[in-house]
Amino acid sequence: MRYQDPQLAELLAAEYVLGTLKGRARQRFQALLQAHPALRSKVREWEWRLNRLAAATPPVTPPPATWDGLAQRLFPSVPCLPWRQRLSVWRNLALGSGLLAAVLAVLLVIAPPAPGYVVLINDASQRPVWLITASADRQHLYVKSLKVMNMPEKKRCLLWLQPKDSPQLYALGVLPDKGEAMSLKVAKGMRSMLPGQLLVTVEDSGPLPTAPSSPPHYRGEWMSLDDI
Amino acid sequence: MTASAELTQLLARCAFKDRQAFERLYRQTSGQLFGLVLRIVKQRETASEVLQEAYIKIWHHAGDFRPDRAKPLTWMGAIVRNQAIDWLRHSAHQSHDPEPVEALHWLADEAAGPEEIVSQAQEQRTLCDCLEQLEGGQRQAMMLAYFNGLTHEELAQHLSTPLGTVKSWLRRGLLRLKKCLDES
Repeated sequence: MRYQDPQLAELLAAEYVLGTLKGRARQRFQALLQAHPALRSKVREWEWRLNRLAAATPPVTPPPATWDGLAQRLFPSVPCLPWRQRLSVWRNLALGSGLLAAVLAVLLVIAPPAPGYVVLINDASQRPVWLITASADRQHLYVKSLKVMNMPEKKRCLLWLQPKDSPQLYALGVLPDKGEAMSLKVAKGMRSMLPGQLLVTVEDSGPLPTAPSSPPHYRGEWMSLDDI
Repeated sequence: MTASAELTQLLARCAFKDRQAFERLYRQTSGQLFGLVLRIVKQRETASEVLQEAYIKIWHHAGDFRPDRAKPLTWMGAIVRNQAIDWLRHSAHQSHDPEPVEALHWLADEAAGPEEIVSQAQEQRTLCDCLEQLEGGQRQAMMLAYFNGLTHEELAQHLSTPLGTVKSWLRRGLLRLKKCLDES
């Protein structure tokens, strides 16, 4: 087609906005739009002309599931709630709650080396999600998932370390989310950064990112076992 | 703040990935936009998916919105309509079933005129005046295509008019509409 013909270009842009271009003609036109700014501005003009009609359509409230699905797709943090609500240092929860015994029991089971530091990361309703301990030599973190999370497909929770007084985050590894326990080896260069603040973000599966893609969903501070 | 100015501000905040702004934007616009999708994509569930896809684009492209070029709702409406038309034109969905004629009587009825479906806002008034100047067939074909996503063939069948006539109605109608809008 002779897209250089101004009248033809005008009509194609108009019919594209109107919606009557179909099949390969529509695809071809969309490809041309990428390459030709003049054509794009024609389309914008037609959108300006015709889309005033859009307001003439009676509004229909979409089902609530539309927003829920949208939020889940864009911000896959459904298991993880806004961070302000989520975290409290484990001591707030554990002391005087009867849970302390359970925490210590778990520590005994999952952390064979004497733990130097411990953190309990809670959800919004103050239920513990992960228990993390560091071995005294800081070479390993022992991570126990305490709650089965329904993670969206191809998403996982990633643990980050933020050294004290530093804005930089360092990825420690992928957290278990099905109730299992595992050990994460701490890279040599990061050992001196322990203890620091621990943060959890939800990230796409694949290679570890170098920086979080979103604000942290959970965070927790290490406690020295000597402080208990 | 006018509704448009507020939406413009919300879009600007979305460009900086402000989720609260996005949720407010959704709350304020999803009804209008869902109505638009639903006219083209009849099944509620599919329309809901199309709406999600469109809002995902809006979230990712909020930074491209230029308030000097378009009203926020026009810009969002274009994204939503494109998404709906793309879905409709996808080969798997070609068995599109046009709405029964009775349901479209307000479009088919020339006496009713387009003013009943176009609000009183000045820009819409202008568009409405220009639409009124079109011949009946030109206007009707254009409205059916815009609101119901009919193709040339579907329009021909729906209006019991030869395909060539429908195409020329649309072309002449569009050019005349442009002339009228550009002059006013």
